[in-house]
Amino acid sequence: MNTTAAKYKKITLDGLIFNNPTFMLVLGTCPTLGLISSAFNAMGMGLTVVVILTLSNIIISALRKLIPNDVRIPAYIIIIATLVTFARFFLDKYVPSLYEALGGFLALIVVNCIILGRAEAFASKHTVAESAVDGLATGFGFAFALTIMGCICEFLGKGSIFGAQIWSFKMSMFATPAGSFIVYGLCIAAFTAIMDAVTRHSKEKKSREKRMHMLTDELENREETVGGDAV
Amino acid sequence: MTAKEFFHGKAFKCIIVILIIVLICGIFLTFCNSLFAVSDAERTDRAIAKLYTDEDVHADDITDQIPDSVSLEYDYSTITTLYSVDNGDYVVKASGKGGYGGSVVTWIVVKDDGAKVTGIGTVLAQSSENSGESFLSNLSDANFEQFSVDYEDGIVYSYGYANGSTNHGDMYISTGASKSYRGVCNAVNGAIEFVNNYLAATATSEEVAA
Amino acid sequence: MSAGLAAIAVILAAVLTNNFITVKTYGICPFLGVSKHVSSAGGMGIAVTIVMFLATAVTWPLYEYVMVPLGIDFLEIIFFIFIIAVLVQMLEKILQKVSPSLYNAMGIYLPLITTNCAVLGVTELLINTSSMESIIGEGFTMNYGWALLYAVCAGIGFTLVMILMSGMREKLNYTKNAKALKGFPISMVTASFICMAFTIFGSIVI
Repeated sequence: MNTTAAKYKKITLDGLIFNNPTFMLVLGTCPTLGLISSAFNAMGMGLTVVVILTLSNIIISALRKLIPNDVRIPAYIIIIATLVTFARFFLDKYVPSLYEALGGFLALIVVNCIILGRAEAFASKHTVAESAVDGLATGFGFAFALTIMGCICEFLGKGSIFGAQIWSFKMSMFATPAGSFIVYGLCIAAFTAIMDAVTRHSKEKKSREKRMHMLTDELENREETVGGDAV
Repeated sequence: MTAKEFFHGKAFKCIIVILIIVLICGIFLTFCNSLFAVSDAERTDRAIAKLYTDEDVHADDITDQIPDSVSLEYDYSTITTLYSVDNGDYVVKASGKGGYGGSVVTWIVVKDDGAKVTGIGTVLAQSSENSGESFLSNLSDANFEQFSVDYEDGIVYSYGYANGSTNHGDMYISTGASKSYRGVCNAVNGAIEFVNNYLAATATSEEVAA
Repeated sequence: MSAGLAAIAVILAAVLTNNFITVKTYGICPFLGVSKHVSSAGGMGIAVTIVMFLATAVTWPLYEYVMVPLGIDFLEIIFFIFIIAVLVQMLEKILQKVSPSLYNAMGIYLPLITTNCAVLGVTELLINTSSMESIIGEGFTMNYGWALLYAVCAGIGFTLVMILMSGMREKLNYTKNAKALKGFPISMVTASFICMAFTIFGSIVI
């Protein structure tokens, strides 16, 4: 029981932080750069990818025994394309504002490396439940990264966050692809720097604990030997 | 390889699996397509609902007409459709030249007193109809509302843009969508000219009829 | 619009004003992944151009003359991505047989192209006839020839930016950067400057 919980915890943390598709693996860059000039669009894209990634992971993992190894990539692509077409219909009917905002990038989710990558690397080798958790974790890792960068870009480019005007100063460059590139690049740098600092800190902590253990062991040993001499 | 070997072989299995997946996906999508289909009337209704957010105007309150007596081509814009709304307004769908990497399709509510244009209502440029336009989303609501403020005697002159103006004014610094704004401005001015011409033409035809 | 003017408009729109990488941000994965050296960037660009041309040559008539009359145009994504995947596989096999030297130079880039947004993006863009008319200008009617020209020119625009970027990245190897900025971050900041330069091409008016 404990091992299952630990396994799911590991999958979740991997998807959200250690293998974050946007900051650590730098996958799915096209929609990221195209849509982070507005926080709403970025979050909409992120949530669409969460749904499609989770569904595709579940379906592919359920069919993994049926699909022959030689034709697995075309089969995955067809399944993903079907889900994307479905998402397109659904958004056009019920969320037209998001459908308009995503524009061409909605169809391009098919060739988003994250979805095919997770299908190939994870869903084709794991059970349905594990794949579903992985899809949710990776998808939310993507959505989370996009929303943060969307807020930064929109704040700098239009002075607003999610459409709510905060200040009137604008730097129009941040609303264009040029600004998206800069924000994305600096966000990766910041994320890497923070991750480095955290891992270094935890490593130091571990080694300090290890040293403490060794010291206490040594002390105990010495006390034992001292005690032995007394007897 | 004999036929029997082929049917028991791996290749046959692969083909069958792919075909089954394609078939299931195709049937599923055909079903979804009929379930989620959005008709043209519904799209027009959506655009109208966005133009009239406060008032209660629906698709059945408007009639679309493309008058053949009035020219649809203007120097800086082309008129697509004219809708007359029951409350007396006209809604013009026009595409203005001079956007960034493409013309800008714009919906414009034109107010009139029966003989002449008296003002501009809501102006709307949807990004879905402007796939060539990359910077349209940078325009804020305030930029679009500026048209109704700046209307003066049959022309809109916003931020230094009039018909076909190449002057950048303040727009470039403030939004990064100066060219898109010029396209919208051209569409608005084309719509005003068009409705003026249309009203004049209908007035003459009524006189002739009388 | 006369044919000559339309041709110039199509070429300028595809290569400069609606450049796939800098304006539309399609095809960023190869742009960041394969732009370390000028030679590999050029190879990738040429491979993408060829696949774009072939994909458009197949998908445009298929959509216009088969899928729309049959009323199955909603299946475009499935059909297009499948055709691109098959084309890339076929091209790889043909190159391997016909010209092994060319295969050695370009073969490694071909499998990457299937999941390249730029190729699917150009086929999706070109079937949207009304948006193409808005990009090029009033009085322009889309046909097969223009679609092919646009596809090739979009590929040339892609190659141009790839080569510009790889030239700058080769120089980046000799600069000293902060540790966190090494790799992708500094490349993206560099790419941003190329984007800024390309934004100015929007001023071209025909």
